[in-house]
Amino acid sequence: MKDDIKQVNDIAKQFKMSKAQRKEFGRFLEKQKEKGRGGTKNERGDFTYSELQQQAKQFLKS
Amino acid sequence: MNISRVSSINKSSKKLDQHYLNHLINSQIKGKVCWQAHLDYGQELCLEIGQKTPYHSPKLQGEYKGEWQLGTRASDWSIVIRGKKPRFFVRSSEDEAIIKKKIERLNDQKISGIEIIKYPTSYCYRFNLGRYALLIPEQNNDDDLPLWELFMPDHRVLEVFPHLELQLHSQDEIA
Repeated sequence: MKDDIKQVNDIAKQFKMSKAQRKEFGRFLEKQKEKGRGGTKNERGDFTYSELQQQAKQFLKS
Repeated sequence: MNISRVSSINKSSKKLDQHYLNHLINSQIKGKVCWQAHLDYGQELCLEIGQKTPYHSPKLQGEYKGEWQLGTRASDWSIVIRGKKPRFFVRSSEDEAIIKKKIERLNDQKISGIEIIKYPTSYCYRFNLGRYALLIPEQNNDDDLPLWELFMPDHRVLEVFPHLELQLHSQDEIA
């Protein structure tokens, strides 16, 4: 869990998200899981680092 | 108790204490309703407080956030039922499904303030929410994450780090 939050923080920095965007990105990721669009990291649907990068691109695409 | 403040908006360093916390937050947040408690990615406990506002991102169209948003980041936390003899209710180490079910009880509870409790060798932050209290004890983080953060209506975010280090930032700053 802690690692997941740290990874999201690192990805947010990598993609130069603002603090407000990083907060919304966390919500977006949880919503993706709820919609069955989660990642392959584990059975909970958490995302691998490369999947988080893909999710960040999708999130920032207007 | 003194708290160092680092502000990226106002670069001048300033001492903080419970009085300042009261002035900064409690006077504004007191009486606001926590209308939704939920877990975000990484099992972070988030409280949506006050007026509902739409998310900025088009990817969250139709979703709302609170004008105040409290997040526990990666910290350990627990919730107790308030009273003369507080009773344990739920903690962050429990199963996700159990936490999700139990934190529904926080919905529609009124915020009555944020306190810093001083112990002989440590601190604990207590967020009073109607019948419940969220406790975030001081804990060592080696991951650069704050113990908790509070997004505020004035477009600032308060980040609280170990050893009573409080930082105020613009929400527009890079994460």
